[in-house]
Amino acid sequence: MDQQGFHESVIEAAIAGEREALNLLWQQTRRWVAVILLAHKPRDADLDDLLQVVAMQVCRKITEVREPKAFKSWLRTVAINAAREEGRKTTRRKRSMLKLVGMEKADQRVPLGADIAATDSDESKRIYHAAMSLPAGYREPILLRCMRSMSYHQIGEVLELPTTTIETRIARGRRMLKELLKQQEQQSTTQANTKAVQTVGGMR
Amino acid sequence: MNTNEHNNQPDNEPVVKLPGDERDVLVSRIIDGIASSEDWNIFRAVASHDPSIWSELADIQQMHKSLSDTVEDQISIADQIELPGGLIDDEPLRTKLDLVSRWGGWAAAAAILLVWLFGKPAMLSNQIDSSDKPDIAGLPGSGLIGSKMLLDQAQPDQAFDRYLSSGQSTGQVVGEMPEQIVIETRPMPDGSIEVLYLRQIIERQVIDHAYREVHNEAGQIIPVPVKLEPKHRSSY
Repeated sequence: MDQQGFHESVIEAAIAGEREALNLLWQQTRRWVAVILLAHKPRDADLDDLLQVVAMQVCRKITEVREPKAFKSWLRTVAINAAREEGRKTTRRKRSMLKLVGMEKADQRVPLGADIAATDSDESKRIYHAAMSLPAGYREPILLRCMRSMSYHQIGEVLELPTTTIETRIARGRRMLKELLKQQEQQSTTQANTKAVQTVGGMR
Repeated sequence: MNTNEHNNQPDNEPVVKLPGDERDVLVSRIIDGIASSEDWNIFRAVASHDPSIWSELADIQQMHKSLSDTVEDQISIADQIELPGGLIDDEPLRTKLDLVSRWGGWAAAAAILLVWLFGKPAMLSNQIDSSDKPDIAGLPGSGLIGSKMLLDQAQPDQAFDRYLSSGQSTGQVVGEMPEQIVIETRPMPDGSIEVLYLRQIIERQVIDHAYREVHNEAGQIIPVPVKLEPKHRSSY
């Protein structure tokens, strides 16, 4: 039995096509699949749509997994591919839409925070988006660690990296994130000061 | 962890300095609740001469907590996503799906399946009709509907094509989005697949006034004039 709580025999059974085993496996992995999707999906893509795409792929292609040990990295690859394909589709859809309504030069940016719940505070949104701007090699382990049930060892299994590497990346990534947030704060303070000076200058 | 000890401090306590990465790892271990007693001893030793490590710990702890809450909130939707039923044991169906999906993604697979199972889709039929049937009144692809057939006798695809071409000529229809979005797929008992999908049409209207419906004191719905500002969808 591995640390995530299922026997290798369950994976074997799922690969062999046993429905019950596959359902169990999906229930135990779908949350970290969601995290992988979050780390790789386009900002405006719906997470639940992508999860359904991955669920469909799992059903269709689980029999292609050669051995139980390869299951987690296979599932991660399926999730990353689904997220990237959605990215390509989103780009194509936007181009089609722009051509259709004659807005080729329109602003294509998605508003900050459009992809996370409205109830999250501005500070939470700022931290989340700063985390999403980290390089993928740091972003993925940091987000996976946000799932409280996932140990460094389990994250290493999914990312196919040694536990020590995961530990270093999480630690270094957190420092990078802290520095990024500090930089943003300094920039917004500078901008606010510049505006204030301009306003005072305009009043004279 | 490596430590550099110096004994020339006023209180004669050893000063423990950690290289950047080791300091980060130490703080991370504490945040993740996996610090050993040795890790704690090193932390205390560092903190006794460099209290800034406490605020560093607090900042990163707070950042991690906030990020974890957001991520947990985001991924909670995963608990509602179940595997689609019936596919895994349906070998012939899976073979069909694999065959068509090689041409690119599930949406494309579904689109090809529509052709396969139900004949030509509307966009194709539009092209085919327009190539071998005369255009009526300058409406491309109007085919039978534009000439002889009454609308209530037309097939849905033909009526839909008529709506598009007629709407485009009057300016009410801007066009149809090229991608059809698959909402649901269900294997049928006979081995075929039922596909529910969304077609998106963009229409335009020119209006003089806009109103919003509100409830008055008596609970009745009344129209209230609204001043419209120029608006673009910022995501496009």
